Amino acid sequence: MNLTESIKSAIMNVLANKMRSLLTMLGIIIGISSVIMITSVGNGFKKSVSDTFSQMGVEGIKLDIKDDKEIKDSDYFTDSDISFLKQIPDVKYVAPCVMNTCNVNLRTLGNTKMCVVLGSNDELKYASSIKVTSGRFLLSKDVTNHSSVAVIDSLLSRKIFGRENSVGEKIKAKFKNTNLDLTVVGIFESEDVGIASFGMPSYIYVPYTTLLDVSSSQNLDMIRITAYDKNKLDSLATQLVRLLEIRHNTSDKYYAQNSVQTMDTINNTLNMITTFIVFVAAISLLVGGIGVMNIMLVTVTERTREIGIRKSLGATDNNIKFQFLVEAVIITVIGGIIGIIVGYGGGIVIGNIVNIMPSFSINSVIITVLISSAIGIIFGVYPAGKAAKLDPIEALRYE
Amino acid sequence: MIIKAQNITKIYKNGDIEVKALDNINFCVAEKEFVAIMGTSGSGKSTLMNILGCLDVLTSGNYFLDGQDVSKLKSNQLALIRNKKIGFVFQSFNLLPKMTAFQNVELPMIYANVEAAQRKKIAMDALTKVGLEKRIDHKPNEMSGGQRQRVAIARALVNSPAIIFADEPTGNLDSRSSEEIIKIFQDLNAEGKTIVMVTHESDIAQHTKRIIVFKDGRIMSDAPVENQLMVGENS
Ligand SMILES: Nc1ncnc2c1ncn2[C@@H]1O[C@H](COP(=O)(O)OP(=O)(O)OP(=O)(O)O)[C@@H](O)[C@H]1O
Ligand SMILES: [Mg+2]
Repeated sequence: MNLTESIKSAIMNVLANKMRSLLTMLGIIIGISSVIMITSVGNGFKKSVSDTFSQMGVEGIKLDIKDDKEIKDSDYFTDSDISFLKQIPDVKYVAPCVMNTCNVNLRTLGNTKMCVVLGSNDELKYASSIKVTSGRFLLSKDVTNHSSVAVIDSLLSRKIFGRENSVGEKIKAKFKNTNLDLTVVGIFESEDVGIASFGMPSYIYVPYTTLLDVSSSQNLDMIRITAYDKNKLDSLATQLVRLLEIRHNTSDKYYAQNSVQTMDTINNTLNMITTFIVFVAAISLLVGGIGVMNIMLVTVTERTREIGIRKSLGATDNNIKFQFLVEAVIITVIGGIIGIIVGYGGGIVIGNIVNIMPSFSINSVIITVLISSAIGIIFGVYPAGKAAKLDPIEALRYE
Repeated sequence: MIIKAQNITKIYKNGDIEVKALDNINFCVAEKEFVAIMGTSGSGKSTLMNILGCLDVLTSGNYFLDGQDVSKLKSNQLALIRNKKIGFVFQSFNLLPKMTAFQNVELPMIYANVEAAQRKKIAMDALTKVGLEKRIDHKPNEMSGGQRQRVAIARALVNSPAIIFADEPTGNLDSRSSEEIIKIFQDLNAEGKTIVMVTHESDIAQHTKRIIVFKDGRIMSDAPVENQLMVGENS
């Protein structure tokens, strides 16, 4: 008896008892679908996080001041810190960051919009993943000359000027105390950063020197660093924090956020959740497998006479064993496939609610089919063996 | 010789109680014979058929089927013999209820790894031979007892067995259907098939060529039938 005949007859038997087969599969369906659901949403989340980070410049270090500490004036980062950091051998790029807000007239709508103004230098281009689509980014001469130039995102350009390319146009930026006429020198691509894009404000990049001129303080809010060797990010981060503390004659005021590290932390948490769910699902699969075994045992008893007839016609013990094994595997594999569909469906529903695009992979489908076949074999072996061992005469006599 | 039984003894053990169902049986069946086995209830007829049909194993003695000693074979080898050399017809038909007549007849060939196209041809021939070519897609519960038994006979024929065993094939049938079955057996025998059939009814036994009578697990008498009745001649 060959495989096709066995599979045909197994499918026939599974379909002959649709309701029972479905109930038997339930444990498998629940187990598989919960794993698929959690992992697809989890992987989608991971992907979205990593996309966000790569757009923000994954290989960087962010030097910042701790919010929860009492900060003296002398603790703030200054212009001279920038030149100091640039001299450190492992440091490739140093980009300061000064943040402010301003209001901008929207020419098309006639009203104003609040924008975040980021003061930085030319090196920010390398310390983040800004993509300039027309014009240019800030240059070092803009910084030294305190030039009134701006690089704005294409969406903002559309809002202000009604078109994406507004290089050469002027923006009237109203700050708290003063106004500034900024000449647009470059447009950068609006970032579609997945979950992070929700409620994102519009950004205007200007030379930090220019921004400090219109600000009340001369403090830098944050410094971004890019290293030559991204494997050294961890040690470099601690080293930089220490050096800055010595320079400012202070302690425990700064922290370095290594973006790779942050992503690791998020991933670790996610992996922990995933492991837990997989563990729960494994228990569900175990229970499901026992359910399959239970029903297979009932089936073998019910079909004792059929087994006797088949044996009387020349079926060997192995033929019978194989037949029941294939039936168990068909049940668990169909259960697994339904589980995949339900799981992905659930993933899409949950993904819609939490605004994550769930990630699907053909690998997970293959692995699921393999796992459900394995469950069918593991829990089908005993009932199938029992069927195979039946004595033909006794089986034929069974009513 | 198709069958050579030497000192066959079968003892059933149920705890302490022993039942000697067959007691030192000796007999032979040659090719193209048509043998009836008779005897009172409990005399060991079914036990003998099961052993001869390789469904059961004997307690002691030797059994040669088609020249091969099958008394000491393992269960898988016995399955192979049942598949290739033996066609079995039971009193209770023993068809698979969820399968059509055609699928039931096909089954022994599936275990013999006959390819599908050939299976179809042989199964159709066998069903035509028993006059059921119009009933191939019927399930057992859509057929009369006589038709079911004819399906069972077709199924017993498909692997061209060396011998056909029938244990009270007409036991569940009325006289008309019984006659149809006996007619088929006589036709098969005329074509050269060897048949051993258990029956309670002596007029059915008169349609065979030889009658062996059992009592308490022993052979009481073994004699050829003087005037074999042929179906259709007397009525
Ligand atoms: N599995 C078994 N366990 C114990 N005793 C058995 C078993 N099968 C048959 N017997 C006994 O063996 C003896 C022969 O039984 P068998 O079925 O061969 O009789 P039989 O001639 O076919 O009778 P019947 O005409 O009623 O079918 C009987 O006494 C029966 O009780
Ligand atoms: Mg009997």
